[in-house]
Amino acid sequence: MSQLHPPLLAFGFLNNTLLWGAILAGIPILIHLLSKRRYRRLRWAAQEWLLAALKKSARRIKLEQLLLLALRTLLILFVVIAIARPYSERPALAVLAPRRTHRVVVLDASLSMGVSLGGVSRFERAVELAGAIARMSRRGDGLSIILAQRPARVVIPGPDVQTEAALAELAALRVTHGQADLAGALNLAAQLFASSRNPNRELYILTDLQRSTWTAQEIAPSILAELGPETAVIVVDVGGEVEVPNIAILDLRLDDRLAVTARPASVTARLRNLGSKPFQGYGVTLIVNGRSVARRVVDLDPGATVEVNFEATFTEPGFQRLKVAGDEDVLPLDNSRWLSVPARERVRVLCIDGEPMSEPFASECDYLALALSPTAELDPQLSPFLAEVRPEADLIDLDLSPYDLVVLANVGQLTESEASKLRAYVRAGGNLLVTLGSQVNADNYNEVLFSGDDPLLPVVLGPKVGDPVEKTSVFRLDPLEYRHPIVKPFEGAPAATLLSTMTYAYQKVRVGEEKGHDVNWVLAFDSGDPAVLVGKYGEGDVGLWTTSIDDDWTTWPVWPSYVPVIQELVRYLVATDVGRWNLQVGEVVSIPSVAGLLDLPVTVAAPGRQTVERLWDAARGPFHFDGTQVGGFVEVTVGPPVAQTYVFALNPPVEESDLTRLDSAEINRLLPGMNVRYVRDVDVSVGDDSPQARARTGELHRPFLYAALVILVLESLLACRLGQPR
Amino acid sequence: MTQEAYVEHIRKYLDPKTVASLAGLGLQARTVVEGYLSGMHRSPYHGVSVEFVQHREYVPGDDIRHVDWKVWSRTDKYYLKQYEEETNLRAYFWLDCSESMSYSSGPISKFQYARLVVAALSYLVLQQQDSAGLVLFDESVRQYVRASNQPSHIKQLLHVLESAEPSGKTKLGTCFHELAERLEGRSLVIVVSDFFGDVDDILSGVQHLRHKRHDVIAMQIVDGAEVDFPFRDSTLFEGMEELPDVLTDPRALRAAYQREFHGFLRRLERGCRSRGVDYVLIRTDSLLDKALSAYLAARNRRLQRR
Repeated sequence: MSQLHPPLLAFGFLNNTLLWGAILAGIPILIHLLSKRRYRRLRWAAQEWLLAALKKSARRIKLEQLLLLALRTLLILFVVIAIARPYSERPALAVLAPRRTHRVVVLDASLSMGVSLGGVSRFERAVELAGAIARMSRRGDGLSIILAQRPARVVIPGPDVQTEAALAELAALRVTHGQADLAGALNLAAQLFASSRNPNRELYILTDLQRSTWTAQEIAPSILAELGPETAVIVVDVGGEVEVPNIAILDLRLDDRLAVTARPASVTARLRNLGSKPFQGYGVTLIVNGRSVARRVVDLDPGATVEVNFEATFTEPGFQRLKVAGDEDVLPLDNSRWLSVPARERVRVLCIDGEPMSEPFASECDYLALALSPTAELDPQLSPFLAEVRPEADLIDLDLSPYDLVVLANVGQLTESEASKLRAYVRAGGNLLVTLGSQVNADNYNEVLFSGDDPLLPVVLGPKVGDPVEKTSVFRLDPLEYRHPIVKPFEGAPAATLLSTMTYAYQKVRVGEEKGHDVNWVLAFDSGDPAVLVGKYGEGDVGLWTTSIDDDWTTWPVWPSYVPVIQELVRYLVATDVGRWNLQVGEVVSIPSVAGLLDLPVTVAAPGRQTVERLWDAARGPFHFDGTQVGGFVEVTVGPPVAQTYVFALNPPVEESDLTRLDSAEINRLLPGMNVRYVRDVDVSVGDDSPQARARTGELHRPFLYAALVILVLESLLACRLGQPR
Repeated sequence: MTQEAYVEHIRKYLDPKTVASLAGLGLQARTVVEGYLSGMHRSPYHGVSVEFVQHREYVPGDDIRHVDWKVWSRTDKYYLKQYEEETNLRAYFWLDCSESMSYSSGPISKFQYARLVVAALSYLVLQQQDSAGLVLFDESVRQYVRASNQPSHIKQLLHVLESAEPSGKTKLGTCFHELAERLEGRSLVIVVSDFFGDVDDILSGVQHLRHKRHDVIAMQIVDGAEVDFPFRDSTLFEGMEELPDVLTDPRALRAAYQREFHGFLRRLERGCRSRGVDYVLIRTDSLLDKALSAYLAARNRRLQRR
């Protein structure tokens, strides 16, 4: 944007064409000339004195007529000039315009504003226009700038502001990778107007009119009422009319529930062609921890969605940074997706054996351990699970934190301290599977695990059902229509023998309905009682296997369905919580509180921002960080003394990739009762070359109108005094 | 008669527009005089001081109450008694017949108004047993009717008046000088004119009349438009009496014109009064009583001086 310095009396007109109206200024002269030719005749007796009067007054009359003629000509000329909207760039003349205006500029900072055509993005264009509006300000005018990101924020509260300072603030603004909180921005605007004393209000909304920006949230009538019809709403369309082709990567997901270093993980990227033309040879690359590992090229028909599968290998445990990057198009911000995956080396399972035996497959955990690692004898590294069996006596002394899952297998009873330890372990993110059997003291379990204000699962263990010795009753499994994902793979696979499993005894369980606890049924017995239940507790998962995990009460361990059910159940319980680490742009990054830790140093490295360092009182509450307006990875390092890095991935909302736009009629419907003016960006002043920009800094049409009014009064007085007809 | 009734009466008989609508100048004159006098509550024919001077022969129309029956008994002829004031007043009406008198902005021109005034006054004079004479003039004396107190004289006067038409230029001063020489004895000269002309010249003529011991009443007849100059639109004023035309915007010139015209009126009035001349300015849109009142006031003053 050039910075021109026009001369002191630099005049111009916004409506040059209207200057042709200056021809009308010749009308009084024409009338004067015509009146000389049109007169009435009168025979007059007192001619002698008329001649004498004329002789004495001829010059004065001529002068007065010329003066009146000049005033009338000027009157028309000034009105025409005022209509043509003259302006002067210089403040010296701009002060003639008396109106004080408070302008609030709302900048749409949603992702779609990142569309770049001709090297300038819509957002950059909007910032440019905002700068032009800032330069309109005269002495006494107010200016406020609001960034309509999510949540909306006031960049410059105003109303008093230095233009140069405002321009500097504007230059620092960047488009976000999220949606715009337009309703919030308008609410802020209403508040700013309410606190302003300027009588004239102008609200500029610089937007690309992308549909989701305007329709994602309803603008509350109370906000519109507060703005009021006296606020001139100028919707400036920076979107242009050209249809924009756009390919977006809608998401990147981990196909497996587990991410371990032991096995490659499958990830899938989903792409969509949101334009109206087919796209050939669109390339996408998977980048794992900063290293490109695979590239695929796909063809996309208009409106088509294509899934691209990749295999990712994680060499080190911990957070894995996965990014899929597509070839750039006009909206590069939706050509990338990020995925943060906490990967383990292997899933460590601690089996607390309540019925240890020396003979093979006599102990309670023998079948479980084999099911978790069926290839252990061939190659222990092939299995993602590593089972460790310990007697129940070790439970109280063991550090449970290295384990991903603790299995209480037919443990007779638990002490209060053991129960508390387990509760703390699960609350912090550990997982627990309780399997029942002949050793289990149901009353003890009910008392220490499943009752009270803080039950691990809201269930009540009842009496044993069936006789495993006499095998008088046989209970078959009910898959409950395969609704649960653990048994979903068995649907339509009768050869998997899930339904032919025979169970002779199980512990009856009554499922409570306490609030805050969701207990999901995975499998039931044909008697209607639950066979496998899962639920959440704190950050972890809890499972309940109501029969024995070995073959004491059931033939399940020796049936083919046992291994996949166990593996799926464990995978489910220890599944990597990808959702927790993968957020949408604008969402708040949070880390749960840690008991006993105060003033932890926290370092946050977020995309598009400088590194933030804070102290976190971890014992008092969770850590929150909301500077998440740009897509990418956010690294939160907590400690020391607990040195831990959490990696969050921020992804743009898919709605922003759809570049469908609203038209002006729809905007009027969305802003009912408002004084809305819809203008294209080309109609708005930008830079010193634009007449509008210069005009706004020193519009002079009002002074000209006032001058015309003064002339009108003067002309009336003079005509009255001189006895001239109007 | 109440005040309102009187005003209505005056309006009825003295409104020039109303009177002008009557047929014949004689009827008009009589209507004016009768109307005017009846409103005064007294008769002009009675109650004046009388001193017998001579007899004159009766003519039809004379009041038989003034017949001297003693003379009739001796001579078998009808003679009327004549009294001093009735025989000594000789009134001459000088009517301006120049072109400028033809101007009219309304229904009655200055000349028509002036003629009506002269006719009414003549009628009144003759009714009062005085002598009335008439002079029509423009740049020179156009017609001269000697004064007579015969009641029938009115017919001649009215005939002359009715046949007169305004035309030609005015030379008031010259006419005044000429007439001052022609008049015999002391007379009451009532000049009915717009007096448009050179004021000094006019006053010189008036001075001449006064020098000849004539009493003079100057009745200046002007049109309302000549005083108010109410014109608005661009107008070509065509001059009378050979004066040039003027195209002008009358509203722009109004004030200056009025200054000039009123200056002329003031000079004339002052000139007249300084020479012992009664001056009456009469607008053609005003009631006719003003002229009659002016005449009667002058007549009274004349009688009182004796």
